[in-house]
Amino acid sequence: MSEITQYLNNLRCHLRVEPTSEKDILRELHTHLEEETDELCQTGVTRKEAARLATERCGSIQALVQEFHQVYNRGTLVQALLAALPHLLIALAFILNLWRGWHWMAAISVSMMLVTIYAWRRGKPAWLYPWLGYCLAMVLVLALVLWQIISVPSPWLWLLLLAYIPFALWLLVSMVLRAIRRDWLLASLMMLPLPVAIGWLLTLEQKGLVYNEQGFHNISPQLAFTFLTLGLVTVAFIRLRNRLLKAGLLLAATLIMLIAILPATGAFFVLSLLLTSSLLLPKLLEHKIGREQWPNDAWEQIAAGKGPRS
Amino acid sequence: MGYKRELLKGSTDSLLLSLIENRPMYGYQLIKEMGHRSGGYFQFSEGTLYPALHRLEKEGLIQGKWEHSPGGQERRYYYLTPKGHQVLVEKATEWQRFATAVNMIIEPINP
Repeated sequence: MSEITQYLNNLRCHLRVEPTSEKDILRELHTHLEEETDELCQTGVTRKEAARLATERCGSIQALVQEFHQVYNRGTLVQALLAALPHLLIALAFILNLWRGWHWMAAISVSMMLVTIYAWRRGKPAWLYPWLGYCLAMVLVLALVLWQIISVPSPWLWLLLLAYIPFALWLLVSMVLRAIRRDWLLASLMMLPLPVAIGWLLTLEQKGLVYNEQGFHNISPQLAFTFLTLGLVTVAFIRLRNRLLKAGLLLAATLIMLIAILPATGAFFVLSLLLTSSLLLPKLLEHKIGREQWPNDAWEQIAAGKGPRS
Repeated sequence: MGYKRELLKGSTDSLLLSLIENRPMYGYQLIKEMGHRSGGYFQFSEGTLYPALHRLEKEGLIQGKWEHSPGGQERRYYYLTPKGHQVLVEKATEWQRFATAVNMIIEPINP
């Protein structure tokens, strides 16, 4: 791997911007470094030495990454509202009691899937990830529903379950890993409703309300409020520029919501801490899985205006 | 030269917009032109230049386009937008006022 490619690969490992912006940045820097190297070669230095000098002049990777993050890490208000929309839709479902009608929930689910597919094909912007989180939750819920109805003796249902569960697991794991590779913070944003949903499930189970429609109806306003809060947290997350503040916001908001939702006992406080910490799992996994290294010819394609699809 | 860095921080946008106003330029060309026209006083690094260019583009003051140079290489040329032109005029006017005011107070000091 050439000096320039190595430098840009290292830069890419730390850069956390949208894929289209990432390609533009890397393409531009690649062109610049190649031109600077050519000019330095004319002074008599070897190509290797010229490339080394050119990358040295570019400055520290960390400083460069930080500057680009300052430019790209803050989303517009429209992007923030788009990111918050799935939470607001679920809140609306509780406020208007749409959760009682399967056709409403089906319509919301299908809309979420369509928006997710649209955003995925349009360069995977940051606002996609809350939508993706709900789509993956639907995959999980479907598996649970199939598991529930499996008590009905039917070989076809068993076959369906046997085929579906591995597929669901593969889809969940591969999507989460792809999200982490893109940006661990966005993976945490994607998973944001999960600890809160678990918190609610545990509370409802403790009160015996899980299969009690009337009981569920009684706490609908609190459920709606929770998802409205998730929407506000998401708006703030997208609008913040500083990555540390974004992480802090997710953790603080989740902890406060869980303390409000779960019973006020020591054990549940510890559970709140554990569930909140689960949002940091993507950060831990990121160190293990890292970002995909691009092969040498990918950089030639980048310079030619093409490049590997993210 | 901490004070020079501070002075440059506030002038980066104006300098870049001024150069791009003259003619569309790409990043490497901007660095060369900046050094040449300032008599070597301004030595932009890539770490300063490209984030600044991307920020100005995001703000709608310039627009980048990939184009083939006469030599065949593809480069990203930056063009000034109407909004960028307006901002440049405002910044240039403000700079003139600032420089005049400073010169009225700071008199040349004999070493």
